Amino acid sequence: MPLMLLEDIVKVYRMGKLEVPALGGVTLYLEEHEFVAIMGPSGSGKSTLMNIIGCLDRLTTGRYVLDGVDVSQMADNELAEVRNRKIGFVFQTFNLLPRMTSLRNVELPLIYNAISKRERRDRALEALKNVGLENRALHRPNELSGGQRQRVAIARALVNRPAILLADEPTGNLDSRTGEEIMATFQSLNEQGVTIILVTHEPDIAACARRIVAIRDGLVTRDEAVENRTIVSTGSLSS
Amino acid sequence: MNWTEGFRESWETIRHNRMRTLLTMLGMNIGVASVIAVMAVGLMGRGAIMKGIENIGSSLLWVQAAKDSYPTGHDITYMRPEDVSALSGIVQDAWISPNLRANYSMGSNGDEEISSVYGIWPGYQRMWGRSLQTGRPLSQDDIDQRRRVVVLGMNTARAFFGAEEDALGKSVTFAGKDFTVIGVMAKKERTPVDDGSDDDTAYVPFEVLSDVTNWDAYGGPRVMRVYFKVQVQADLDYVASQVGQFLSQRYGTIEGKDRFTVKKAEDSINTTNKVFDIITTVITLIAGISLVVGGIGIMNIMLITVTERTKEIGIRKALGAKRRDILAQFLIESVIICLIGGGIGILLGVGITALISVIQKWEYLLPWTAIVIGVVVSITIGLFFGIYPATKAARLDPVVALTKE
Repeated sequence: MPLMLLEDIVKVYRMGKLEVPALGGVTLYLEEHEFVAIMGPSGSGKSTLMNIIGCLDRLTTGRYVLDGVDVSQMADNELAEVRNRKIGFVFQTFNLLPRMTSLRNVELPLIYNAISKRERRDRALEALKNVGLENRALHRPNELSGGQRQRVAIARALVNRPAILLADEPTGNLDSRTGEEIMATFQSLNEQGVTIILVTHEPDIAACARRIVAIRDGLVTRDEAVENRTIVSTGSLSS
Repeated sequence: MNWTEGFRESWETIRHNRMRTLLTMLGMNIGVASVIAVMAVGLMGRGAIMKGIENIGSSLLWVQAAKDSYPTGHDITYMRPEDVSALSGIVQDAWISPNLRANYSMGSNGDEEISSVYGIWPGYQRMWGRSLQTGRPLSQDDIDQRRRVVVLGMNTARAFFGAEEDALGKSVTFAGKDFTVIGVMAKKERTPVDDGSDDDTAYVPFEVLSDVTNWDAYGGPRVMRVYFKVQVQADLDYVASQVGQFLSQRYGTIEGKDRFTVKKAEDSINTTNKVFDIITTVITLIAGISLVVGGIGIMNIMLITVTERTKEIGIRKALGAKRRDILAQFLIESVIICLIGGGIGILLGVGITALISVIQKWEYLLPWTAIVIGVVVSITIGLFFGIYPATKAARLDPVVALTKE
């Protein structure tokens, strides 16, 4: 069984009496260690698909099995647990909590996973170390550069050892050089075995993935391996 | 999320919003402070009054005609002087005194003063704790010998003789008879239960006053009240029933009802207590309204907080926070705000209480119950007014919350 299995996913939003279809039957399989870019213009249903994959939103019909668990009909609290254990989010605007230190931000998923204080600290520090920010553990987000913030966010996404890393336009708020650094980080993580789903509208960024899924009008229009994959140099990773 | 983490996060948020939190707390401060102050003032004021009553003594009782419960169409029965003698033979270990009271125009050296004259036995002075400034009190000898002697109140003595020492051995005239002044009572301090009018009185032997009174219109001498003060508090009820039994045996009942009623000073203490309870409760409730207002203020600020932190809630939910985690976070926050607010209110209330006790010269009593109530009420208000904003936060859709800027 694949790591992620989406079968004929339909999502319809109800706005009063109006029914707005966002996804018209998406089927997608994902194996472990894959690095998939989901592409599409705005309004294509790409964000809706990402929300469903991220268990933030429920599907209208269809079937979604993640890491062997059918999450299609789960209740709020069960979905929260799936998000906590199986999904690591990286957002365009980083979404770090501004009042907390890097360490505390990274600890947050572990707090909701009821990990003991000592283990939480150790694991959060280790995750920060993996993205080269162990010496920024006690800094708050406003004391960090954009690239550093995004790497804290990546550390936070990975700290609970999720099944997939789900990144939504992770380079959208970064300059191109910093964006490349982040993509290098993703590629390196993927080499280490992390499964990554990258949502983007930039072909350059998508070219860093191993596979591209294009969405338009709520349907998958293209699903193929990347031929001339861009390999970003990892030399400039450390800050 | 566990409690430690919840408290830590809420505390950090509150610290970050110091000014706003302080302003939000104002309502709680004032509410809790006023509730505590009102309860404390009630407690201390009651203490002051009770002390006054207890000086007279809760071991005091008296008997009088049960005027209020007489069936219509019956003349009221009064005790006779011989009843007092009989009662003094029955009741053991108690001071006993009849009390006959009359207003006379009293004269001396050509001056005239209106004075209340009390016909009493020596025990009366003792049971009411009347000490003398100069001279001697009425004695059993004065009673037995039916001497025309008088103990004057301080004001009366000074009005006639200038200084109380000069009054001794002089005579005053009322009811057409001369009375020799044997003593002057010490001035009474005004207390919450005594208006100090005793300073205008004069004490004479009961029998002497009865003799000079014209009883023609009343069909013979009467005794309005007989006072008893038991030496042992435990005897009070026993003496009361003894007195009641004696009188109902002697005079019988009237349509099944007692002709006389025995009253205990204790009862008036209970009445005072009840009145104070009611007053304190009413004012506390009024003060409690400000707590509700304070609570609404807290709900208001919590709602604003939830709106401001919608994005944060979305992030937390994305990272795996369940509804109850978010709910707990905001509830803990509002409870902490209320507890700090209540704590400041308690300090304020205790301060106000201390100030009042100094100004009023009341014994300082810290109302521990009020403090406990203050803490409990603070937590309750935090929960009650926090639950709606917290529920609102917990129910937020993560997708909607995350897209909010």
